[in-house]
Amino acid sequence: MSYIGRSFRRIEDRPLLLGAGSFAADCNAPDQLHMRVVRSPVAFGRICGIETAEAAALEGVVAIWTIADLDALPPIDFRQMGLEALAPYRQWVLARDYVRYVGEPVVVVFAVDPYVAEDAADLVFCDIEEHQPQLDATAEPTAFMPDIHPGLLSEPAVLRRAYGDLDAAFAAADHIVTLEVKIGRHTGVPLETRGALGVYDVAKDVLTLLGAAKVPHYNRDAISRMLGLSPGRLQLSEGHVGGGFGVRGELYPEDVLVCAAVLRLRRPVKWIEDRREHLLAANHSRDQVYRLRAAVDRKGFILGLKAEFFTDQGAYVRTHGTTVTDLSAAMLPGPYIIPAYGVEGRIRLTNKTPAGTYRAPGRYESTFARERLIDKIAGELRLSPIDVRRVNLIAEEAMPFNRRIKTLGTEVVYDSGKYRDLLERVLDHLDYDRLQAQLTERRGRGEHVGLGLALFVEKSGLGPQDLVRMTVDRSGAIEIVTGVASVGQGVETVLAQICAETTGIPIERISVVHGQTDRIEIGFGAFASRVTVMAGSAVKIAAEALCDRAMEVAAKLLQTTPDALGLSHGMIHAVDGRASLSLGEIAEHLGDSGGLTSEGRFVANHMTYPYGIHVAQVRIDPLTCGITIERYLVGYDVGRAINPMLIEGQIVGGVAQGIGGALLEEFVYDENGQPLAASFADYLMPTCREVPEVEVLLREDARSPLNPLGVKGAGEGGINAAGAALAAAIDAAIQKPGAVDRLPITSDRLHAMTRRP
Amino acid sequence: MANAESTTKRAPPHSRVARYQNAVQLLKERILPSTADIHDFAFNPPEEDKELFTLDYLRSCMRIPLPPPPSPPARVLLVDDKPVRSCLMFGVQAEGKLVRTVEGLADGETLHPLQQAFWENHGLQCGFCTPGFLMLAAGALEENPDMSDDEIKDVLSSNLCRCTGYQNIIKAVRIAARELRARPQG
Repeated sequence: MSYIGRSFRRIEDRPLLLGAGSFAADCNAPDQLHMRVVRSPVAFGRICGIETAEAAALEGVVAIWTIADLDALPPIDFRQMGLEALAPYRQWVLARDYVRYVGEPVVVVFAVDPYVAEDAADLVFCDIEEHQPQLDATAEPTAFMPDIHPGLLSEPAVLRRAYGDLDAAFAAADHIVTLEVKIGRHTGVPLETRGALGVYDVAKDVLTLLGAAKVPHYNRDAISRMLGLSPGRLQLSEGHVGGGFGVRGELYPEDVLVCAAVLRLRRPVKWIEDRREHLLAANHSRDQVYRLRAAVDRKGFILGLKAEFFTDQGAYVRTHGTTVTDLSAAMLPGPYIIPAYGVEGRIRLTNKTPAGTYRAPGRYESTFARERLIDKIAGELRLSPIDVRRVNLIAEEAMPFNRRIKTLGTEVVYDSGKYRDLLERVLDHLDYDRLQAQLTERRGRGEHVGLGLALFVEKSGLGPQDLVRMTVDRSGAIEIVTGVASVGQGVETVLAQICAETTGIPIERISVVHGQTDRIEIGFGAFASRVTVMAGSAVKIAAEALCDRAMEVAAKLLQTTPDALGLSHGMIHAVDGRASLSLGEIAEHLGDSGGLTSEGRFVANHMTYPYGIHVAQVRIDPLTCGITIERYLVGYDVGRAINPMLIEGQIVGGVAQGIGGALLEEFVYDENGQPLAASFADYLMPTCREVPEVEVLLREDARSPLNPLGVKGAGEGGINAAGAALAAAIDAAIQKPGAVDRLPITSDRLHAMTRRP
Repeated sequence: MANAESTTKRAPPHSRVARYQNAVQLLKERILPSTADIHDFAFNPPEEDKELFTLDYLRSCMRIPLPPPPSPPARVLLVDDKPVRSCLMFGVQAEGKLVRTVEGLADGETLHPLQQAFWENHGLQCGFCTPGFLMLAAGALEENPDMSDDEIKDVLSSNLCRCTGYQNIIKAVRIAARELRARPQG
């Protein structure tokens, strides 16, 4: 029986359906203290003093700390893409000298009860001398912290990338097309807020942090370094995680504060973030402005592209370093040839919540900019937007296609892809010409309807490596231990399917341990759509090693040679059919000599590049400027689908978030830097009323040559081009090509667009 | 430093702590031993605890007697058969009413048709919103087993899910509704 390619229901679902999930808030320890963070009420200012006496007098308050109590702690370092120049812009665990955004942790309170901790936090007074906040990332840089860091400006870095002969491209151009677009500030907002429980085991001299997510091994090492703990004294443990999306699981001040408090106060410490805190304090994302200038010929072929963009990084540079800007710069050209390209990505600090990655970081934004540009080229040259895409798409014969740019320390080489083929398939599926004719007819009847489409290349399977260990017990059940993490995407089922494919053991008899630093010494976590590619490949390698080992042992026991044996359904049979042994029996036989175990390690120097197309059809109510999505289609090639149902789930979920960022979600600030969207009443996320039925055209046309499974990641294709496709559809519905130059397309902005001449 | 003159003492909130602990004790003694199924129980918070949110109250009650991992991530409960948000309801509002949580939805080892349909149709990913959607749908279907698609969407639009994009949740509720309608009555 084949296990890969089938839509199994998930092995991880039962406890979640029964209400038996173990999320961060479900973790408790006897005698625990509760932590509450006092956050800055102002966007930018010098800390003159902090008054804690009144709070300390409350019964049940155990400790109150400012940065003075944690003077030896270094700031939180970069997990990836750090630069020397960024170091002074790192965030301390509590504000030092200045506060730089509303929501910045300033003081932390520990009490015997969460209600008391919250009451006490309200009594702390922060005396802050307010400064004029910087809120526009495109404005001239200003001082980061006047008089503390003289001369340090709010532009930590400018990334420059280029290839090809831009001057020649512009000299040869028939037309120059320019564009400026903005992508609003929004983020992942997983439904479970962040949370942590730190517990110290005296007997073992080990501090355990529960509530870990995404990158437990990295965070174990980072927290150990900050607190000066020797390796092995800190373990991170992941329970159920209520969504990640890039935001959850990065190392934040609160995680370090919990660990420091457990060590100092010698009691378990629990912290659960509330929703308002989450919206103010967890990483924001997006918020970029692009200025593009394209040299094109008569057919709309892009000869050269000059790009400048600004990333509004918020108040500090967090764990991601330059990641978002770096990815934006590298992925902006997307699926098109673009023989010459130059880009300047400016990282700018403002007095807003610090930013990091959110599902398809740098791609949701750059796809919006690039696809808007293609539509504008088509508009200005009076060509069909489809034809302009056709002439620019990279041909299948050009694969692997070297972009001659690096990102995340790897060269961007599109490993495989049939971009033109996918475009034609999607157009056929839609019956594109007929559909457009119908829409034209409806517009003739006075309806405001339109169709838009956008193409993109994703990236997935970031290395450097992953390791899994596999053990068969006496009953024949398999345990897989991996250092990747689960944020609810179905890791256990997918890895079990890959293991089952090789071993023949059914997935119900396979368990997957993830996110536990005490179970495996290395792990690279769950981000960048890397788990199926990296850990999946490692599982395949380990499963094959396991079967080889079992065959070898069985051959000895059955007094034959391994090539006279076959494996099916977890049983090893002699080819002549006379004898058989189960994997469990072999494990039992090996019990005293280490059991039936194996290891698989998969190393990757290059990422793998899935690709796809989003199509949106919208109807606009001219009175309210309300937008109804009548139809939504995603065509996406993942190389090989391990579990199509789960991939479609990833895509549809991604579309919903993409719609949020395109139409609804935005962190708005007033002129003083006060956040105006700090609750779900103001930060609008899509409900089932706003999300249409999404059609998924899941393709397996271009396997990846870079891993033994041929897979590409599926986590981010659903969100990537949502902003771009909806913008094009809205342009078409109001019959104003290029009208949408900003996300989100809120009703008031749409109203202004329709009134524009 | 801020001036410390305005040190108007608040009511000592330690009493709140004491009440919280007291609530746990009372639940242990009064409600839990006397209820066969602790997931469907008459909610009688002691006088002092009525200001606690129902969610906190339930968390504290579940914490004591159940083996770990305890406590419901559910935000929606059925209080006298009506779906309510436990994090927005004070204990006093639930007084004397029948409270049902997601832990009481399955019949022993047999999943409720809603749970089964969510499982078969990938109606959950991270699972954090799942108890809320299950209880919301359970309450709505008890009230109206014949909901149209539009009515289902209307009900479900009061809850957020950030993973699934909703379509498998809607599909699961539709399928479970059909299953429930086909069951013999009584």
